[in-house]
Amino acid sequence: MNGYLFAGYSAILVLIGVYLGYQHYRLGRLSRELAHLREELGADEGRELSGEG
Amino acid sequence: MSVEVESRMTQEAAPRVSGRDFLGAGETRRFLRSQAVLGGLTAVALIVALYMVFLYAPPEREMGEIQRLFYFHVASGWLAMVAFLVVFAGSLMFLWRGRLKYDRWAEASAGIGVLFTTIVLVTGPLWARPIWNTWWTWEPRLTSSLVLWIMYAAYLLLRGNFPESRKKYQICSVYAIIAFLDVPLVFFSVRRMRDAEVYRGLHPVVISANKIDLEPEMILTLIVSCLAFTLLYALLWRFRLRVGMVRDEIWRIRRVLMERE
Repeated sequence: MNGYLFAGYSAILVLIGVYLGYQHYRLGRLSRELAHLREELGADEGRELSGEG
Repeated sequence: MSVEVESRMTQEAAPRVSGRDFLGAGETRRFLRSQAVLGGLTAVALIVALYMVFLYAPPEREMGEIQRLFYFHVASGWLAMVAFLVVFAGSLMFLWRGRLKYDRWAEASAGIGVLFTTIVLVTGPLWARPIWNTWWTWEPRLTSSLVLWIMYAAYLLLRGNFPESRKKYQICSVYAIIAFLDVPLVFFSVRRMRDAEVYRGLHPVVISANKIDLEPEMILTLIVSCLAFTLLYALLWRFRLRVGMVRDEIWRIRRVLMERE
């Protein structure tokens, strides 16, 4: 295969892969943070209902 | 970011909750299932496109094998135009209707547009070097493509470096509408300049209003590549939109927790 052609398609693959990988990482990190905050919110609501807060 | 500004912003940014399960386990499962279906379709379409690019389409008579870069180079350009059109439409709708979901559409699409403009700017010189013995010339289409990349990269920087507020979204929307003026400039630059006696660029024009200067197999391969990339856009856009939704929900919960303290 022509070297320039190989470089071109490799670059396409790498750029899309990096973008998708980064967004996947972000979504994972944010989802964990959301789950943690919801737990915190739930615990907070629980304390309010039981009159502790 | 000050608590007051974040509080005001999150009030505005809070997504419309459609039910108790918003971004919950069940809703996430449904999202992942639909993304898996879309991802599968995209993968099949890209494999078919790659098969056609390397095995179905005949080599170009003068350029030889390197011309096979053309299919994904043009498809990336097409996808960048679609992405910037969505940024433009989302920004316009946000200014008109004032609903944040339109701003989020634009935000999700801008990064994808920059990504595929980068691909165009990388594959273009790799194609030009062996054929025209140069990586780059400052001709209209190449220069306007670079300007387009810079303008939308600046849009992303603008979004990332200013405190969250409705004012910021309005400024970004106005900027995105102005930046979109460069898109037709890129598209028509070669057409306008190719007949001009004063300047002739290197960039080839194979698709014009009157004819397509390609073999039928090449046209079919180009169409399949563009369709595959359109599916890829839908996949990436929904993914990026999801990132924004989860981030907005985090902001909303933080605001509730801050108000309770």
